Amino acid sequence: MRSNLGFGLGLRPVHYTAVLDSSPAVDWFEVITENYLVGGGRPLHYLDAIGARYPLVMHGVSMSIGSVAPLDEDYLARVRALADRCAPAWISDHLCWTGIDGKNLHDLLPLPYTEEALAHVAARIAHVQERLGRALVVENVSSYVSYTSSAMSEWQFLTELVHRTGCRLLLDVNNVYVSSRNHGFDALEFIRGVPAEAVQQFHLAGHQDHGTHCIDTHDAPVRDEVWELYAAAVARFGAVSTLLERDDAIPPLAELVDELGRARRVAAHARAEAA
Amino acid sequence: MRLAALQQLVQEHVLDGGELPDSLAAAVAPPAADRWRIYTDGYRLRLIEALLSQYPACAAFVGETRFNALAAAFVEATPSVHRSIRDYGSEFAAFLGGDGSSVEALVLADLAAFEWQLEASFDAAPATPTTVTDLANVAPADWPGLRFQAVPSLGRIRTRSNAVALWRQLNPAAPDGPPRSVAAIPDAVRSDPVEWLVTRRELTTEYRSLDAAEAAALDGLIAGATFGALCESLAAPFGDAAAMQAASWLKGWLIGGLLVRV
Repeated sequence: MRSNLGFGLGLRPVHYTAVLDSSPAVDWFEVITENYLVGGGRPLHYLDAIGARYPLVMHGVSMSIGSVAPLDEDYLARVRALADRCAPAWISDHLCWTGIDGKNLHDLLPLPYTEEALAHVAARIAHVQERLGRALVVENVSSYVSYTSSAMSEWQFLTELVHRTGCRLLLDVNNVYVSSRNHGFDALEFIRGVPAEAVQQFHLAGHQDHGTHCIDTHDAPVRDEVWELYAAAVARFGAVSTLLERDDAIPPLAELVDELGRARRVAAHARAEAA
Repeated sequence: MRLAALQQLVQEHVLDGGELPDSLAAAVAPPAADRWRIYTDGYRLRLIEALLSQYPACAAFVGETRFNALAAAFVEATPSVHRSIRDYGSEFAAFLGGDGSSVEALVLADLAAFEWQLEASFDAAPATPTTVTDLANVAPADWPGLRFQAVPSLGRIRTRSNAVALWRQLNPAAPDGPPRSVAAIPDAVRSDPVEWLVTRRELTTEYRSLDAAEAAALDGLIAGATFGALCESLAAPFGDAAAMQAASWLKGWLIGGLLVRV
């Protein structure tokens, strides 16, 4: 069963006080899990205060679900403890790997879409879901390279993960667009290719278009091409919790609330058209 | 290629940052081979940005170009082993200090250590410090056996330069603007080190200097010495006033919210 939280923003420290002072018209906030895996102080103070007013979702960047390195049980225990504290509607992370041999590249590195990788990731998702006591929501990443060993498309890989583990999907519409440009596939085919009932959440963000390729930068408003793809996603998947991200060149909160208004309008129009 | 071998190749390439090795080039589909720079450059830019965010006073002191060069050298020498990028850079102060032969390195190392401790205190777990009132009913016979531990936000720093005064001047609100060279810092290198304690009260980070005797006493107490042992250790320098001095310091530490009775 999919719950729709409405239209949310990625919570960033620069907006902590503005959120509490202005109570913006935002339906929910997504928090970066790793920012709150600390003992105390300002991050947890604001997490508690904002969590008392808005629904929260935890979004991780370092689970490294696709790595061949062993899963970090201590990390999973800390994520579980944080979830017990802030009661997120769900917990998400990325279909990627971030490092091996104890090192962290602090990037969302793509996997080859092979049967070996599928079995590996599926087993790890099952383990994580057991540890966290809930379905994991898995996000597609932007990628700049693909591997000759891949034997299936990214959406086929995600679909099979859903079938094998019962995980949910965080469809990052911007990442679909960026990767489609970088790898030359049809973004709409991706949208049509994932199981509709598994899509738990959308992400929207800005990217930089370099002509020959695009880079997922989260430093600018959502581009028109991505709004178009978002409309197509809403037409296919219906009312799905939508989250706007900005991680660099972060504008005042009010600007992001305005941009979120565009998401509301695009979604409403797309749903009316699809009806 | 098996998943483990592929990830090994990719990680080595990202950390190395050099030319794409043939073995990895053969594993990626065209036209992606030249796109590895997005990953190799991105790795470096992200970590340098993290250091800039952790060490703004160091960056303000040496300027952006010099800071970026120092940070880039640190990144090449120090792969991240941290889950959160916020934790990257704990060894930056030692790296900046080098062999301690240059005044700039000495000041930068102190400045970085101070900035790191401010952040560490800021994110530390909360605690309920023991108060003076809490100890009001302790029987006189029990005082020598009292033990304490530091609240999680308490950090101790020793500087050999005037880095903390410099840190205050590097505040963007400082009226004269920051000094840009060690030559502009009065007493840049001190003949005797200065002891500091950093802690957090509610959401505010606080720091103050300690004289060497008080610092040694505090370090001993939070390392597990009893209050009685503290008094004994002060007998030589303070004679009959040892217990009085120990009690006076303890009261100050309790008022400062630094200790939890064990």
